[in-house]
Amino acid sequence: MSLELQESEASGSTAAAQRMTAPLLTVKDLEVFFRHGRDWLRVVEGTSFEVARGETIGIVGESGSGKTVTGLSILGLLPPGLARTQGSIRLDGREINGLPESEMRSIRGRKISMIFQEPMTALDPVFTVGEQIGETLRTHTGCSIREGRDRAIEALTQVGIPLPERRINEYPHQLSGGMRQRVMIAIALACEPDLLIADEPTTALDVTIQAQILELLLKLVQARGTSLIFISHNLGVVAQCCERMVTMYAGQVVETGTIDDVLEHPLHPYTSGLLRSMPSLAKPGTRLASIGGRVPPPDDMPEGCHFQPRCTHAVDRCREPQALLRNASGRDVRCIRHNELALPGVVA
Amino acid sequence: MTAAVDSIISVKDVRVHFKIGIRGETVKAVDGVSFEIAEGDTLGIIGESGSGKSTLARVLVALLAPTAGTILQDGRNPYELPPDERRRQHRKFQIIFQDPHAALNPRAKVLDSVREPLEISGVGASKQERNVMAIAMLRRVGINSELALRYPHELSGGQKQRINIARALILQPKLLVADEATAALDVSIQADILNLYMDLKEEFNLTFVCITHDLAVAMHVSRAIAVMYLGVIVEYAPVAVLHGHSAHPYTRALLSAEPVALPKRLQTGQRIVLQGEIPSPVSPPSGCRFRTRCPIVQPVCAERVPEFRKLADEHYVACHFPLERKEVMP
Repeated sequence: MSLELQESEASGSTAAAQRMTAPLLTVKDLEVFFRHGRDWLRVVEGTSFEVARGETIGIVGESGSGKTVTGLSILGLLPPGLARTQGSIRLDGREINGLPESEMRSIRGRKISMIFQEPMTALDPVFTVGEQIGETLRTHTGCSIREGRDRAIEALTQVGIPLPERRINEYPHQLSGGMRQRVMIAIALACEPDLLIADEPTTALDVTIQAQILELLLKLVQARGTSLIFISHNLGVVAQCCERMVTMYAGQVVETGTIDDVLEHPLHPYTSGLLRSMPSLAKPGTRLASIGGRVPPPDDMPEGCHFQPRCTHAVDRCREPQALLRNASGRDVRCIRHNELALPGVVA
Repeated sequence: MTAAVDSIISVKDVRVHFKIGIRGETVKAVDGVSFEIAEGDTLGIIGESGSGKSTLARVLVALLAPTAGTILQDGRNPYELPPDERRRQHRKFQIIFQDPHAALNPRAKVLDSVREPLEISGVGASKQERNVMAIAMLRRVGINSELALRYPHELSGGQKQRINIARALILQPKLLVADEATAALDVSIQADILNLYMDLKEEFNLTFVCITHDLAVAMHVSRAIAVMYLGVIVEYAPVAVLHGHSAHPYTRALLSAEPVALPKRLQTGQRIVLQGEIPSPVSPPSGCRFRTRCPIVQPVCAERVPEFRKLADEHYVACHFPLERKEVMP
């Protein structure tokens, strides 16, 4: 860690300027395999995307689309022996896929942090909130116990927890769901990471509490210039929080683009189907547009385009392997017919 | 809230209190709720965790007896009926729960689970006849007969929820309560299940109660909505009225807090972020229960419980200062 800091200080202003424009995170051709008996099952396939400094991107998809696994593989949190990753994950130009655990440790929490869906399982039930924030700070900054405690109080204040001096001595079970998620945010942002990965951070929360947490999260990442990868199945939440979105289906990125572009003019039939199936956008009482069928399991992937068996626009060519194509306006889409189709978005 | 003559459910000042802990504290899960549901209507009940909506769901199908107040199903109080009569009444009021897996017996084949209600009620002359009925119902909800001999763990969440629907409908109920029945499903699967509900409602002439925290789902399938907060109904209105004319500050905040997947140019309207959290139902605030989080709270709100009063035809609200149509909250 300290070595790298010295390096970046020494490299001067041209490198710093370059860093401003170069993406913070570049994921290229990421493949993740899970052990399945004697075989390896591919659960994430040819996934590529970039995150610029200070950018907020959403990864959207249904259960089994590979969005969580993608998040975990960026942090190197998949269990070794049971999972293996291929491809490139570059943080600030440095390859981090396949780094030894000791080096990953200095990146996790310091450069990249993660917030999970269920704060109760992510927090350790036998340590107080203050100890858990302090531990992160001591590990990464080497500060003293007392200093860690003071900074934990400060961190809790920043995430809007009332009476932080008292709360740091409480255990996770003494807090409400919303308060626990605030603590998770405090821990994740304690060391001011460059990138925060939030995996369904508000899914377990009520709507009014979700609104509070989203407001807080956005305020903090904006103030610090932190990049955010927001993983969610909820398109509404992503539309509210993110500038760009990546749609995943059956382990593949099928589409990327700015939120407004994707919502108004989806390029992939799956994205379009997903948008049209939302009850919030349909006329009350009418039938919802349904995609039909369901996501194929990883051990029974259809040939070619993974969405082709459910797609109403499928033709023979769709049974051939599909690459992620870049269209004229710089959006990526995994559909050979994207130029011929005019797919409906959220605005009819 | 409609004419009492043809209401299938009539709930009057219903309270459900649970005793908890050694100090004899009482959770007031539902604390004074009155409404009626007309036959064939669709009512949505929305609210956050702890609002009492699931407790109320169980009261509607007589799975849970109210601590005080009365519930009339089809004009009859289930708790005043002789036992066999009451059982017969039970069949007409069915409920579907959130977790489709937990609601099915893991050791029973799908067909057996769907046939079981027929056996218990003595419908059908033989096992074979009941099997035929069960398979017909499974087919109606979109479950292939080849899946009928599978076990629940072999099926997807959407398929399991279809089986629960088949089980609930096989006795041809008059009323179906869906308690967060699509919350565990992915969006595209949820769309299929919601479509199925709407079709079956027509086909079986059902009265449908949709209990959910998901406003979009409730607004889509319901004709009228009851908004619950901490054990009471704070507003009741037809969906068309609630869209843009809601009068209770909580309803306004709830509707505005729901993130909508629209491009930024169409993201209009005020977003109200409520402060604080829902108070404990053990000791709800005095006066209006929402006052601790209300952006327009006044001193009187702590002193007097707001009356649940009629604002317009079919529009009721429990607030001392109901909002005007165009009024903007601070």
